Amino acid sequence: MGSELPAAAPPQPKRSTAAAAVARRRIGRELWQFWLDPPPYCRPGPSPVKDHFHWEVVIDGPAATPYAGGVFPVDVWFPYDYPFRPPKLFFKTKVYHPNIDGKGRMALDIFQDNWSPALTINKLLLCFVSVLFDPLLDRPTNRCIAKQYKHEYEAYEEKARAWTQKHSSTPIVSHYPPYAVIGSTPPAVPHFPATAARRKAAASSASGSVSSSRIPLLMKDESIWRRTMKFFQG
Amino acid sequence: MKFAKKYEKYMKGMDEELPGVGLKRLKKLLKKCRSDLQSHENDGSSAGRCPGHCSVCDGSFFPSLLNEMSAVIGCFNEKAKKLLELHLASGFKKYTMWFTSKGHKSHGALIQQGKDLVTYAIINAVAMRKILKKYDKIHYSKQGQEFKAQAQSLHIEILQSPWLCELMAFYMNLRRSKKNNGAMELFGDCSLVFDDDKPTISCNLFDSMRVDISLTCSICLDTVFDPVALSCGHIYCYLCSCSAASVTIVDGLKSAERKSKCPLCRQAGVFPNAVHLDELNMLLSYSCPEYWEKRIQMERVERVRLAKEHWESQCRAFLGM
Repeated sequence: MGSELPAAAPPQPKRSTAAAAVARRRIGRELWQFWLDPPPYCRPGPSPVKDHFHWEVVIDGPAATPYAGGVFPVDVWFPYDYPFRPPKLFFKTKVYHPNIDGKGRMALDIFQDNWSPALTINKLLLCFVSVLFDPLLDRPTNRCIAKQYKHEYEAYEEKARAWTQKHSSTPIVSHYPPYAVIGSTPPAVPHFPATAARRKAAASSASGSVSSSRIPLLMKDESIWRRTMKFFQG
Repeated sequence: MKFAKKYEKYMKGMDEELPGVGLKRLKKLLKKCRSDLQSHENDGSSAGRCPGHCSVCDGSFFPSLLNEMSAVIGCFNEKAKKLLELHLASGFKKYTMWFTSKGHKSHGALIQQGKDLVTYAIINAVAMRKILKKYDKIHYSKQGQEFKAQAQSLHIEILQSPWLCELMAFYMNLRRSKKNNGAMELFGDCSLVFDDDKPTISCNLFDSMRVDISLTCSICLDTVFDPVALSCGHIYCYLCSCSAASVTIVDGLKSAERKSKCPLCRQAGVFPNAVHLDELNMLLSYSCPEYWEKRIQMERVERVRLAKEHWESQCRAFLGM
């Protein structure tokens, strides 16, 4: 049902095997961290990660926003000289949001001048969720939606909810890889109870229900997302 | 015992006179400010705390504290450098240094000197923190925060000093070679802890201060290998820092541009004065030998490749290709 945008791979520079090996090692660690402890409202995509440089991630629409109940698949493309160049993240479905353009890109300064090799995919996804919570109206990608958000919030909310229902309501079951799959990551601790529980939840949701990786935050915790943006801009 | 008395006792008990923070004098300044404030309150001219800009404090308190902090960090860095040079030197240089440093220092004396320097650094850091806390109690101005930021940008924050981490590693290395115990053992006040496969150097002092230095490179997300500390105090692998500064390993970090920023704190101009942490490198190589061997193999391949690339580009430039 979800009308998906064409997921064309962004052009990559000429591949240097040694440089790519460094990137692969770092991405492997991030994949491990993401699998063990994903950011709130984020979880792995439906298909297994075959290529370290291309992942699928699912963002569950945050509670207390017009995107609540939506399931937003995100494509993550890593350059071969990662982490010295930022990854590219695309929403695969249409999202009605002031900071997301027609191609599913979210224009943030941390993807351009403010990129730092110390930023990880977990931090970027946290940033994405925080912008879904609290749009950055000082630098919108879509001016019309930003204007509507400022002056006719009810209309914006209604339309965003309708788009979420139309394009992003298809349930997606996360694929948690078996224990020994992640090749280039650090050795595992004997057992991870949280991960085991998540895997069980993902496996049992054969009915197609969405298995969110975290309990949704309460309304009073909304300020977390505002603070997150300050952290990224500071 | 109050900290001011403890601090004074410690500074007096030292063998040689080292620069410190004039806690008593600075406290007197703040007391004077407080009494001025109370007299103003009695007049009914102002209520609450000291005003935003106070000539008594801002005119003499901050400049003198800044000078004292600079003197402390300067002395600490110099002494640490000398001690570590003495330990790391080899061959003829080592004998010359032993000879010129008055009399032979025994193994135990070196350990003690390292420990004393770490203690000196941390107790002065506590003193600075306490006096600034006292300032913040009296004033509600932003001057205290601005001063802290200024101290960080001038690299006179003692806990930021790369030599502190290096000294802790030096102290642990000497204890290890003396006792021949495992690397996970608690070395007096300093210890190397592996928490969730993430190594950290911890140091406790006076029950009021605990220094934790993470040894995970935030670029490769691995334990630091051939570590360097930038002048902002953040630690990275040498290869990672070269890549972050966009310089080749042949040119080194000295050739990094002034506008290159630290990946963690985004402070500019921190690469050229980076310090190679040789003691820390030794400590980690003893602590996790299997990891170290594996990492050496990978680094060797990578460094050869980078050096080859560099010289090829140099040859092309020379031949005008």
